[in-house]
Amino acid sequence: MAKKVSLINMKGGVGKSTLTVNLAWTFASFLRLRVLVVDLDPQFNASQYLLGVNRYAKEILDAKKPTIWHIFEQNIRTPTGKTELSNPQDAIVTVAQPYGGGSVDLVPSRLELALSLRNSGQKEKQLSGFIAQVEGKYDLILIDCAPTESVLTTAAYLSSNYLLVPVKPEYLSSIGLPLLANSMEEFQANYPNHDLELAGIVFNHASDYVPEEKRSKQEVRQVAAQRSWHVFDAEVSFSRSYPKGAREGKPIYATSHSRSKKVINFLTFAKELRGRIGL
Amino acid sequence: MKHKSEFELLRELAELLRRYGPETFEKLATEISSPHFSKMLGSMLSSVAMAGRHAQISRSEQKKSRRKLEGGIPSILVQLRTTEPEKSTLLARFYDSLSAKAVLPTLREIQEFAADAGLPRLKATAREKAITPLLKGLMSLPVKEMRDRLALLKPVSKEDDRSLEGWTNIILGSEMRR
Repeated sequence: MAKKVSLINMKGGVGKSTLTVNLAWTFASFLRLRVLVVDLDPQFNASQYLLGVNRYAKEILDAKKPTIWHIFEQNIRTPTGKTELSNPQDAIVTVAQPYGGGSVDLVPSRLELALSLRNSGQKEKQLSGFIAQVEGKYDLILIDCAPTESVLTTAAYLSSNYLLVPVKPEYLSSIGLPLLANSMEEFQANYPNHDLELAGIVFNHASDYVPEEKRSKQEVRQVAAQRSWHVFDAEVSFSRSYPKGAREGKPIYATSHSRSKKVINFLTFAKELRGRIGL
Repeated sequence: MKHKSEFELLRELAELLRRYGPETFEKLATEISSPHFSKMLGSMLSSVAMAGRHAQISRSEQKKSRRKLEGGIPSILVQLRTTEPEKSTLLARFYDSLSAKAVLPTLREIQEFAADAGLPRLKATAREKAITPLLKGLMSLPVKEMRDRLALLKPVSKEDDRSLEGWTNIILGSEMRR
C-alpha cells in the first residue's frame, strides 16, 4: 500500500509545491519509486511546474482530461447532468519516467477547483475514495494542499497517513503553524478513528544567517516541543536553483549551476523523510 | 555437408534450439502445420521478397551502417547485455535519448555532465563525437553510480513552454471567466 503524505501549511508561499515536485522527482529517480502527485490547489502550481504550458494546454485542456475538479464533482447532479469519472486512471497524467525505473504521475488541478469550494457539501470523501482505487499502483502519494482551510483540507487529511509541514523561518510564516494545529485538532475531533500522523516540520528556504530567521526557528521548535511534533534535522536551504528549476521544469539537482551543497541539503532531507514515513 | 552455408545454418538452428528449448519448437511445428499459417507465411514471404527487390540501398549507406555496427556503441551494448544486463539497458536508453537530443542537447552539457560524473575530460569538438567517449566512460562506473548519475538527467522537451504569457493565456481564458 502506498504511503500518503500531504504537504500542508495554512500559510501560502512556504514552498509546498516546489517541495512536493522535488520530492517526487527525487524518490522516483534515486529510489525508483512510483510516485503520484495530487495537485489539490486551485492555483495549480504543482501542475504548472510538472507540465509546463504546452503539455497543460494540449494534454489537459484541449484533451478535456479529467482533473482533481472532476474527482470532487463526480456523481454530483447539475442541470446539465451528472459529472462522471468512470475510470479513475483517466485523471492521471504520466509526467516522467526517469532512467533506471520509477515514475512521476500527476492528478492535475485547475482554477475551477475553487468553484468546488462554493458548494462543498459531502465532497470531503471524494478524494480518499479516488486514492483508494489507484494507490495499489504507487509506492508514494504526495498531496500538494492549498494554503487555506476548506473542504480540500479535510479531503487531504482523510486521504493521508502523514502530514509534512514546510515552514519558512519568518515571523508571519510561522503563524501558519498554530492555524494548522487548530485545523488538525478539529479534524481529529470529527474523525477520531482516522490514523493521521505528523511526519514533521521542515524549515524550507532556510539560510541560517539572518537573526530573524534564527529567532523564528527557535519559536517554531518551542511550539513543536510542547506538542511533541517532530522537527526535521535537515533543512531545505534557500537556493536560486528552486525557482530556476520551476521555470525550466527540472528538479533542483538537474538545473544548470545548482550548487552541490544545496542539492545535498535537499537529498539529506528527503532521506530523513523517507525514514520518518518508513518508505 | 557440401556447403559451408548449410553448416552455418545447422549451427544457428542448434543455437536457436538451445535458446528457445525443444517445447517451443514443438509448439511452432504444430502451428506451422495449420493451413492458415501456411497462407499467412506465403504472403509474408512474398511481401518481404518484393520489398527486398525494391530496396535501393546506396553503397555509402551500407558502409555507414556497417561502421555503426562494428565496434560502435550499439554492438558494445549488445555485448554488455550478456555480462551486465542492467547497465546495458540503462545505457541503451540513454544512447537513444542522446541520439534524439532528448537529453544533453549541446556539447557543453555533455562535457559538464561527464566532468560532474568524474569521467576523463571529453576532448571532442562536436556533440556527435562526444557521445561514444561519454558512454564508454559511463560504462566503467559501477551500475549503482551510473544509475544515480543518469537519474540526475531530466529529458528536455522541444515543445516546453514555461512563459508567463503562456500561463496568462490559459488562466485568462479559463471557464471561470466565461
